[in-house]
Amino acid sequence: MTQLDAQLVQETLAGNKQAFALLVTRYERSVRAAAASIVKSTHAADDIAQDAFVRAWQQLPTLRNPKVFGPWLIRITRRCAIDSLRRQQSLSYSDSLDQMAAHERNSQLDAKHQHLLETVAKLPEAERQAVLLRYFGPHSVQDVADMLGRSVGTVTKQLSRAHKRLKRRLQESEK
Amino acid sequence: MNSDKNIEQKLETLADALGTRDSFVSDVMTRIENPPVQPGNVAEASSFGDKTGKPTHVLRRILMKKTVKLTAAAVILIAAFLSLTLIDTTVTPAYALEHTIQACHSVCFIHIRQIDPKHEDEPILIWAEFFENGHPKRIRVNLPEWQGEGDGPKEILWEDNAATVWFKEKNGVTRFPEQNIADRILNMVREQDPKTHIQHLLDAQKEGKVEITIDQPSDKAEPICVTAILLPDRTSKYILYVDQSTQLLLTSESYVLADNNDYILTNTIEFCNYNQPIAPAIFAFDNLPEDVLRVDQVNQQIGLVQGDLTDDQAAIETARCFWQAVIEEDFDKAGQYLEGVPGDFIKKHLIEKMQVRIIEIVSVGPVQPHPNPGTRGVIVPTRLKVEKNGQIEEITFNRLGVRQVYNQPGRWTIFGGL
Repeated sequence: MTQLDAQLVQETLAGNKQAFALLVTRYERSVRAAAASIVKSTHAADDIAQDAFVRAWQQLPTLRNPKVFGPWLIRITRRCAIDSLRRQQSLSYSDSLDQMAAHERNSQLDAKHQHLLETVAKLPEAERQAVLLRYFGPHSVQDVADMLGRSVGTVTKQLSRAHKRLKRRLQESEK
Repeated sequence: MNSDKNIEQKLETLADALGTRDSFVSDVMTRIENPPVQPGNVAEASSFGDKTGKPTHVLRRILMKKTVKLTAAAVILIAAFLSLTLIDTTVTPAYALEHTIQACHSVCFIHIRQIDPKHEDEPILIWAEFFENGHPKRIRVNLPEWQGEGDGPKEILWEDNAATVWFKEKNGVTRFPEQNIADRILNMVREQDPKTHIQHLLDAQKEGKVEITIDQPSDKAEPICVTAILLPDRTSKYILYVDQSTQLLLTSESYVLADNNDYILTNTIEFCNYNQPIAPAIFAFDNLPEDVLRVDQVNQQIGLVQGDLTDDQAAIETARCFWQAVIEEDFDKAGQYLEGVPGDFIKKHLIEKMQVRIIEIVSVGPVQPHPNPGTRGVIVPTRLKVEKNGQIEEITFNRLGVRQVYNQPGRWTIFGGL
């Protein structure tokens, strides 16, 4: 799978936009999950996900190892989401109300799912990356290990630790 | 295991709930093909990099490098300063940057905190003691988990041209000879040294690559504020706070220009406890767990000597020698082929945990590419005849990595465990 990513990156760099469209298809859900875990609105997450792909397109020549396109894209997404949050902080009161109204209209996630996403966002970086790539995209543990440059054993352990951490935090919040 | 399954199901349900949107891909591609025209980003939005195909901004390129992660703030400062051109609009009040350089000459002890806004509660911590000539004498660096590449939080000591790294999650301590690891740590401290910060700023000012303004409050208790904006595109800004009485650098903040023309804080480096002697305990690991795995690569030669062998032959021979030593139950020798791991550890792992006794090597090789090219290693698949639970069977180790020993070309070792 990471070979496929690498090939699509190379083809994109060679000028094949359709190859990039395939990368967008492959990573749409992971990227939207990464964004939604930070901004709490699927509407805003959708915009951020688009921003992240556009930024990835612009910065693709700087990607030194095409096999790590996935984690690189997730990092870009987080940066876009944090930038978006900071921009929102400087919005006027009326703008904020509009945003809140838009949020109410567009947020498709129920409270449980949103809470789980926020809990994922609070995982340590290594675990969060593994979870986002493993569960929100078409990636096996082996793929995730290859993408992150870790062994399958390490990724398995990180996922297992993430499961325990998520379970504990979800239980704590239910109390 | 049930708990894992339960959480896995929840995550999978969440992924389904998040779903995909029919027009998402076409929306992204439309934006790529029809970028909004904004001053300053026309070329960037419509094509990759500049017309030569190179990245549009050296700063961004540097930010992409994994190896720079350790020193992001310092390197951003240096690289960005070196990559731009200048208009000098410097105001020169009573304070001048040279004063801080001079004040730093007498610094023998310092504690540095590097704070990434995304991980405010987990700063990178550095303690350094310098000789009178300014060269580092000993250093400690605590790297939090977010900073690592999947190997968990680490604490690092550097002294006498060797670095000792405590991999806390892996419960292992490795002592490395100089170069590579030690040099990386040393460079990190050098680049975050306040003298270096100010010197780069001065150099950039002389070369006209930065616009500097200095605000020196009349209240001497307030710090001097040095603002440096990179020219000509003004995409990055640095604010340095300098103590008025000592002229020493207190804090360095790095900012990048966001789409809304606001500068966003990306990194803060705090320089604390100038010349307050650091307790010797800081430069030692005195709280290591009793069962920690200790690997010393300074006081023992590790690995196989390559001699006239090709790289592939050397990798295969290393794996073969390791397994042969295990068969002969010479675990100390085996450990020398496994990054210097103590023989007892290998014995415990194979005999007590895996409960196998290696009887015979069936085949070693051929060499295969390692799934992670960053390791600079290869995989040497090995098939062995073993005795397990009284039964003779054949097993294959498919992920045995072999590579050259760090900074010892011509020597090969197994790495990454069995």
